[in-house]
Amino acid sequence: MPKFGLTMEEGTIDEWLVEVGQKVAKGDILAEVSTDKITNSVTSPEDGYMRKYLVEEGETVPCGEVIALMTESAEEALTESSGISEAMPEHGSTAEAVQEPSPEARTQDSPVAGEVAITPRARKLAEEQNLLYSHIKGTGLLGAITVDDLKEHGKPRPDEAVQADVAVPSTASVPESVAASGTDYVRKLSTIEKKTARTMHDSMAGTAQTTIATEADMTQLVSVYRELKDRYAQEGVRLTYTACIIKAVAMALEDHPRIRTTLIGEEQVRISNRISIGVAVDLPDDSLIVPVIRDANLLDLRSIALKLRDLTERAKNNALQYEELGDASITVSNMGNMGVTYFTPVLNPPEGALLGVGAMREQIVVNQGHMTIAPVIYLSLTYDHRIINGGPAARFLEQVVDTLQHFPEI
Amino acid sequence: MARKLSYGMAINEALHQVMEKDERVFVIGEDVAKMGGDFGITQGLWAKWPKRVKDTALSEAAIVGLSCGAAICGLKPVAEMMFADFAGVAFDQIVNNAAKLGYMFQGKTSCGLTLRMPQGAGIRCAYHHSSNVEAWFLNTPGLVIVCPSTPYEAKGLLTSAIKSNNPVIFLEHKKLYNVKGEVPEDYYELPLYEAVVEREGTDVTVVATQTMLQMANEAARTLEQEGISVEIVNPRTIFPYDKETLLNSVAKTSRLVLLQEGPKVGGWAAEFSAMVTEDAFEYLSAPIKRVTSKDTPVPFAPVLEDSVMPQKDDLLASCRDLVHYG
Repeated sequence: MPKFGLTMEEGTIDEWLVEVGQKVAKGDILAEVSTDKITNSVTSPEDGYMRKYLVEEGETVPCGEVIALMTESAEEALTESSGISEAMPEHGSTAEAVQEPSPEARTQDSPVAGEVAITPRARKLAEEQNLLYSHIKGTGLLGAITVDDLKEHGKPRPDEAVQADVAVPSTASVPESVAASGTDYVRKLSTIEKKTARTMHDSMAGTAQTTIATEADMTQLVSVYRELKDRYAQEGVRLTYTACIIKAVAMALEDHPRIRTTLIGEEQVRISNRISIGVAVDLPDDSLIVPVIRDANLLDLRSIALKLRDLTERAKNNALQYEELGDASITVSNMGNMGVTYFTPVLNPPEGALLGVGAMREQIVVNQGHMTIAPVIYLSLTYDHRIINGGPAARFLEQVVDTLQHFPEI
Repeated sequence: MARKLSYGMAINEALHQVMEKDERVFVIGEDVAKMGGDFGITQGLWAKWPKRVKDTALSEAAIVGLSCGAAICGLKPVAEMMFADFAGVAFDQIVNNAAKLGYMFQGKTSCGLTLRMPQGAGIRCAYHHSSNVEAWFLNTPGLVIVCPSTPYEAKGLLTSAIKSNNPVIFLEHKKLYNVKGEVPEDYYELPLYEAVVEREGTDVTVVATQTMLQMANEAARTLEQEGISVEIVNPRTIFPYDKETLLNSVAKTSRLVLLQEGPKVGGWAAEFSAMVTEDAFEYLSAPIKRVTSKDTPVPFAPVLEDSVMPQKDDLLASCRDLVHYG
């Protein structure tokens, strides 16, 4: 079971994608794995044959545990050394793997430098004759693999070695299509779809969530935004309204610990000390992922804008790190650019609140009998009524609005 | 222990301490006693041990012949050839007696003499006083050829050479006699037949002795600026040489340059090169290069002498070529 991130402790085999007895090449996807935060695939570290599953579909095991047995040939007896506990994830690298930059060309000639100690002549022969050698224990000077070692133990490289690519867009596995009946199209759910379905259902069924909403005059924010946007653009930073809202939410959360309180079981609550803001990102394939900006209250607006852009880009390219998901204090979901005004966003468990941002439109605003035209934004706050009452929720929302209306020129 | 001594005086101190320790040791040669040696290396010995330090007639053959006889009778002669070039006069005694006597008597005796001689060029001593003579003796099994490079090595290798039961050709480099270095005051021995890695590196191995070590170090510093890491190996004993250290260094760097003072043809660089190719061909990623003196006797005119010596530019070029080979 690979370790996708430093804090990952266990993973669940969602689905085995190769059959027992099937021949696999290095880099082939063996199984879909999900964790509390992320889904990924396990790829084969070597060429060989899948011989036995040790973990069933749906079963959860700790990282590092042997999940399957593979052998070099189809018939050889299974031994302990057949276990592939060094399986690699398809996306990103395992937490421990630190890839050193490859040494400069000339030191790669020397047997000792480079990842495998091998004499220059043996390496040359291996290339000419297409032999694999990293499995050989060298008997030469300084432990290098010699020409003789290579002759005795070198393995022919298979014709097409499939190399796993780090970033494969979108879902971890392509859903198979099942034979359709009539004209309807039926297919299996992808892992991320299954996870979303579970999460949303658990959220609705397991919490007492409800939503309050408000509109607010954003004249001040718009003028500040315009000015900052140009200034930041010169520094290569793209500022968005979402970044401003994240900043305002982070600042307000400092004064409203109740909003960053979550229920644990039935007896305890957790009040998160770090203020991390999840940002809902709508992916090209219609799925949803929520990367998190950590310690947003300690970041300035510029840093938030940069971080937001970076996370959004990488989310769309399925290149987020395990540590960038989960453990947010609150999530912000912006549907304003799609014309939505009020909505009732669904809580992202175990968070206690979620701020839905709707469109900002020019409207007629009445102020002490006078009509003016101003940009107005719609904000919807869903909260878990099991631990947050209407009063605290409303006060938090009020402060967010207030912060936005007096958005500091930073 | 920060005391510094010149190469020549380190040898002198070794002789004093060895003669103090072992009464079988005696010193013999031309002008070694009353004059204290042409280069002053044996000064002070005759005053202490007048019966154990002998001046001879101008006869190198007699010096070595007498020493062989003394050695197989159980004494420990330390004989001097005033210049290595003059060893030619004693050649028969060296290669036919000194080298072979130890093999001829069923192990009942050995020929443990030490033959000291100043060799090397670079100080305008012209044709008959500037030769490097390792190669003269390299092809004669039975002889041990030692080339100390520093005062520290000079003292420690000489004490070991004298102690050894084998006939040792102890080749001092005359240009190093005045070079100073740290030398422990007490008696000590350095192992014969062991090479030393003077500088660690990863890209190319340079083997050098005596005055060539300074050139190697300078070149290494220059090449370091270009990103080339040079490993320098000092064999100390030219024969029998430390194969293991040399091969391990080649295995590490995969490139070898042999920097040798003295003519190229048949020099010790040729021997090392053949051995490495034979035993470690697959560890090489480039051919082996030798940077040596030209194949001529050493001229008298300074400009000519300098041009005959190994050239630093050739050393730098060789290292760069090997690193960029292929």
